Amino acid sequence: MADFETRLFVLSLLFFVFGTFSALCFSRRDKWANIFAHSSALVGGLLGTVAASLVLATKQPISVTAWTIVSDVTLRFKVDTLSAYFLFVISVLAVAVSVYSIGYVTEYYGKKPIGWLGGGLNLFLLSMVAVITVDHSVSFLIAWEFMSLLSFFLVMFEHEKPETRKAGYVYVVMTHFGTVFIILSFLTLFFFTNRLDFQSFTQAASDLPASVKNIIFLTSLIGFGTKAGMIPLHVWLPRAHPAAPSHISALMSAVMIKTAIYGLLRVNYDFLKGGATWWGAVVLGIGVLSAVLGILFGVAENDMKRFLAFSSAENIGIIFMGLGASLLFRSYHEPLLGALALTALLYHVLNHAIFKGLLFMGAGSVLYATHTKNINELGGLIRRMPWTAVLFLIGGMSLAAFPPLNGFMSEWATFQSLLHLSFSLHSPIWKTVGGLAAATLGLTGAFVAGSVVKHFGTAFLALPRTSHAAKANEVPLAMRFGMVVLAGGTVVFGVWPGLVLRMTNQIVENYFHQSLTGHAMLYVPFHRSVESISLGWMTIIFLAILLLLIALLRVSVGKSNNHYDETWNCGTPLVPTMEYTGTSYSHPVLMIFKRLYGIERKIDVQGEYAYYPKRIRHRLKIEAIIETKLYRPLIRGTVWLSQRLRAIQNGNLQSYLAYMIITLIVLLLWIR
Amino acid sequence: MFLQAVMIVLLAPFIQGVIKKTKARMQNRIGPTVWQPYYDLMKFMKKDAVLSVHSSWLSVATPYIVFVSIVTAGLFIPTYITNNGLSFMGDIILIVYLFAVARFFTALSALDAGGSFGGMGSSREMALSAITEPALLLSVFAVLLSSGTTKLPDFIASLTSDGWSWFSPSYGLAFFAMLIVLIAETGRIPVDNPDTHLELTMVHEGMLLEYSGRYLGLMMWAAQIKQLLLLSLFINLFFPWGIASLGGHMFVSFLLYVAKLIALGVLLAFIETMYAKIRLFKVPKLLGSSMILSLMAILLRVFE
Repeated sequence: MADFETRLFVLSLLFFVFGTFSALCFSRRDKWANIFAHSSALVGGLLGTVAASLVLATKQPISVTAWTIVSDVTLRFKVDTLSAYFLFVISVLAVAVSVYSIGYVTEYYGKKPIGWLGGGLNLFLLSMVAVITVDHSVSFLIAWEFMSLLSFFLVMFEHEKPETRKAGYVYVVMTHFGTVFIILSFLTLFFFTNRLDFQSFTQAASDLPASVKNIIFLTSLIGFGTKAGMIPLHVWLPRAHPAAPSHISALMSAVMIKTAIYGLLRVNYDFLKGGATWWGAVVLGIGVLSAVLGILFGVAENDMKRFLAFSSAENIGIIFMGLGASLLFRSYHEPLLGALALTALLYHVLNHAIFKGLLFMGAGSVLYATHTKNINELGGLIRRMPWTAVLFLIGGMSLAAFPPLNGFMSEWATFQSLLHLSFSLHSPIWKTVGGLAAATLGLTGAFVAGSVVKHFGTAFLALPRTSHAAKANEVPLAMRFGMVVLAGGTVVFGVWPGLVLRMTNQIVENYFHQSLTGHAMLYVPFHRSVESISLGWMTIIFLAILLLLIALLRVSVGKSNNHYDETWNCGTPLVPTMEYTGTSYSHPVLMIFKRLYGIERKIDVQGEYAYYPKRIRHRLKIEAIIETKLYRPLIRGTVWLSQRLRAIQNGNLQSYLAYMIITLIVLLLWIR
Repeated sequence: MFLQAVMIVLLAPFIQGVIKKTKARMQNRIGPTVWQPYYDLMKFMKKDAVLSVHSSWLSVATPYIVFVSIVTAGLFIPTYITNNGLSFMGDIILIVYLFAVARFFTALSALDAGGSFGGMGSSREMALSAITEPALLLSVFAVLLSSGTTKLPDFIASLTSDGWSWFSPSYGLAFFAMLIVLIAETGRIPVDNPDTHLELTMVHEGMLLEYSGRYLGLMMWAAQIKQLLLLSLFINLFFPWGIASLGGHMFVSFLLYVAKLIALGVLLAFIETMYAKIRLFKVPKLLGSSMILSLMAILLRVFE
């Protein structure tokens, strides 16, 4: 039986390989390259989805040995339930993104090499699948590096723009900073177990001394955290994601940063099997920080894709909150609560992938139609692009965790996990922290809602602000279809949590020997009470009341007679410059949280009297506080250190020889 | 369940009328009768509507979505009976998020017509809600901490079974914390002025500026229902005495519930008359003090 899944899985990998090479072969013919690359990515994604679902349904892991590089270093793919879950997420996104790309890349016809873009996409997908399925630390690192470099190349696709080059540079530096720590963590594991394959880590790592475990935890947290975009290691995220072509940003934001979550789960749960209480506290703290700061910076953005990138940092924060809570519950031996928190985080991984993919595609559609992603240059798109508008709205509502969409379900589970830190643990600290963390989750939710209103309202509603927006046309069918797939996902995973639970339970049971039940309803039997939620039933009631309301109004007073007239504007005709812009929309928030942003505000009034100004100039400078206070001193320090180190590089051959001899003597002494 | 939906929809304008009447009396006016909100709503339902030429389908859909979201949220809030059989599908978190859905669509439709007043109201509402929402959650959690559940019926059951022993300083602090949030969420002075039609000072009313006819009626009705629901939530978190379980003394319980609503409405009107509206950027400080009170309530409860 497992044979069939294995074949599907291998076939899906082969399709990605085929997509890469066929696209490169047709690099001279844009249309052929487009069709070959994206249709094989589509088939690869579909096969991957089926294979992952089968593994999750039968709990039979797939194992394929592809290549024995050296006797101990093999390239072997092993899809257990944890890998299969992430494979499912990646494959679903691969399907939606490849359909969307068929339309999106026509934008580059004749201007840019489509073959390289399509081939890169396939290879990027392949490398991500490899990251989550290989079971050897060396091949993992190779795949990880492939993934980082390919995404770097894809970010640099529009390298003629200087800001893209800058973004790419920051990205490549940060991702390697992270990789160093991942290598350190694997090396520490190797040092104490003498093996490099994951299976030995799983068997041996939980017996390691506590201090070693702490080192592994910290290095893996920094290493994977950089890739995940946790604050304060997020600086690459708001730069690189907007710079990449939109379908690539969708993949990067929706799935690439999730491979880091996979890494964290693999190391902390599979290898180390949980740890000290403070681990959970650290992860929870980072989660709260990422969530709040991520969205606070996001609120200020007027660039759609940059906002979405910041909101990815925020959602990683929510995922980290779940991870922190589950580690805490594990250290307190609360299996049911730990299972709930782990389910919450896995659920949110899937949900975020779906709605963030959808939103990036929506932003990409706007970019495709208007050639700008600055919302202050848009407006009125709901009439020109009705499909994109509705789909973007669905994505935005799911992002803001509104029922009945999927974002709400995982946020609810995260809320419950955090609240039960208060309700079920006995230490006074956790009782306080749990309530506060839940309240900050509420805070981020409200901010997200505000930013979605800002972005949707400014870009899609009212009057167009520029001619780009006024002349925009609805995007091609393929792009709309790609978005519809994910929009369907937001509804299905919202009203039918049982589907997700069936997948996550296999993973959760491995670590907590507990599972959650649920079909149309998520149901958690706690010690003192039973918590349950059902968006499906709620939706039915909602629709019933809606129909009743409409029917009653129709019967009692008849249809509403609507007249259409100009918007009230104190008696003057409305022009687009009078509309609220994105900048003015987020102004109250900026003023309320002035200190956090480090705002510099300059108002320049020109004219004879202050009350009758001829001209007012208002300048607002938002300094991201993390970059000025944390990164600038670090960069300065590094430059200073490098300059001092240059002293030993004096270009004199004799001194270089002396260095070598000294090193040799030191080494000999050490080894002896 | 059906009864509760009808009850909250029909009772909401009455409470609004009571508050308005009390306010009028305190300002030495006679004021309209307590039934005036019903007449207003009936009038709005019958009138033709004027919509902006720049608006989209969103402006038409919003009043329905807002109204239904709030009524749906109302089904999960205990009123005069503890459990109406629906609590398996939702808890306080769902209630807060359903209110958020209503607010989200109101704020969106305010931008739909393109006028600056709508934008201003919408932007202020969303900025303030970012602080109101955590303040509400925190004050509710401070109360729920004693029973360890987010399900309101279970909480109320455990509260009423305790008799008088529930009272503690922590509870008192949470009471004031939630009172502040209640004022902010219902859009009353000192946070927002529900009566103003001066464009520069309004928050909630500013968002409704482009609405008329049936759509305005639905939006106002929804606001009144939301007010009723928040009052019910407050009443049942702090003074649930006499609330009946399903099949109990429902009639007595209902009368008691209405009496409590009127008392709380009079209190709100009293506060509203006593204070002036504060500046927009001072509202976060007010809500911040509510959060501090909740935090102290939690700490007191934890270290008890």
